[in-house]
Amino acid sequence: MLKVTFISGIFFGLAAVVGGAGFYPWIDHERLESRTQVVPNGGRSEVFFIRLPVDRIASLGTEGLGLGAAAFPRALAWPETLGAESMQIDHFKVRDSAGNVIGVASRHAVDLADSVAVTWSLSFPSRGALWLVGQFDRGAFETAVAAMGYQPGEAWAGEIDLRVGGPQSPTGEVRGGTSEFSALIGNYDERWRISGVGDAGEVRGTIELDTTTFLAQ
Amino acid sequence: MKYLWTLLAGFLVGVMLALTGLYFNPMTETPGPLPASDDRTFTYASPLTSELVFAHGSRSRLPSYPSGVADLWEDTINQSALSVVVLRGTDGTAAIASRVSYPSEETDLLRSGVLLTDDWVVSFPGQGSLFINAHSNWWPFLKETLIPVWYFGRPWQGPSEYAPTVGPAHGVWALVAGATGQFTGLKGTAAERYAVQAFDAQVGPRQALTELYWRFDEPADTIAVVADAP
Repeated sequence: MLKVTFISGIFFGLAAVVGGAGFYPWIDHERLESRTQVVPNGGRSEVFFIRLPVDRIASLGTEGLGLGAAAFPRALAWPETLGAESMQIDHFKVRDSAGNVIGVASRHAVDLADSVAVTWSLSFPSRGALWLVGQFDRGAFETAVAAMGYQPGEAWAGEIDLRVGGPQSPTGEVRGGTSEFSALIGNYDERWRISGVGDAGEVRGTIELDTTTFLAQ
Repeated sequence: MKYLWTLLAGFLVGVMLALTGLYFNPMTETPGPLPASDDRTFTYASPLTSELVFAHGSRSRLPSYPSGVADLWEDTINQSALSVVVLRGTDGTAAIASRVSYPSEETDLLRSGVLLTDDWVVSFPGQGSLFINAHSNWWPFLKETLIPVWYFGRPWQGPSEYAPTVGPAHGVWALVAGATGQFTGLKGTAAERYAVQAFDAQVGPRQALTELYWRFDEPADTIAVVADAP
């Protein structure tokens, strides 16, 4: 009987470890409730926010892409190997509409001669990555800040509410993504609500990404 | 009481047997795909020690840089890491890449290993951008290098090579999706390979040769990336 008990114990031990290894959720990222709304035509709407400067992680770029071109941290220099063609690379923490940080965003703006293309990847560890592609109207942005008296290199305070988008297509595209975003298409608006620029060139304000998505057919 | 102790002893033996089996489980050690001979090649330095940016949630003993970069300390992102690297091509082309990495919820120690998800954005000056989504199995690296050296103080048995990519495309390759410019609308696959050349017991891989290679569905657009990490 002792022998049977011992062997039973072995099987219990094996089952416990194998079961734990195969079925225990070893990685379970904290997930906050998704603040989505159903829109009348059946899609869903979700708005993401970035508060500047507190949500900056790192930024670097060449000259010529507006207020956001200040490097952060200041020691970060644009690599010479990438040349002088206009680019701006930003990384931010992303918040939901309740102000909770829920992800990390990479934003790449690349000058393609006829337009400045903007690529967003919003990574939410518990949900996947959401991919956005749009344009940045450099002229409209520079005109707006100049009209408010902004001088490059100087601190400035004012209010700008600018929808960032190309002259031909002010609205960007949602290109799906990964995990729960993989089957989504749709569009988004990128809006910059700027309230000032600090002595060190840091922008104050909010970037708003208003997405409307549908299940791809 | 005698039976209880006997059952407990058997249980412990079973646990040890199962742990040993898991440690040597071949299902979690399947290497990823290797680059094809006609792939174009780029290089970049290690994202962990000497590229443009490495930021994480302060849980890692690896240092963040540059000084002043924000920590990813919030509960929802504190297992994530951001790295920014320059991709250098042997043909003279260059790109900049942002990678957000975090442990995958598909991690399964029985069948797939310890998985890391990488969300990349890669941009070429004047040409456009593309997305890459990769799942990498880091269990072989943890088992052979990280755990013995970091946690048991054993000497490093390197140099060693790892091809960690295990999906999500076809369960083998990373997924590539063109975003803007000349990459718009393109689809493809990618993979990575790391050759760790020096491993420091304090801060991890000090020198490595890393490869990231990708291929669009159109044969003419096959591209590869090789990374040279310190």
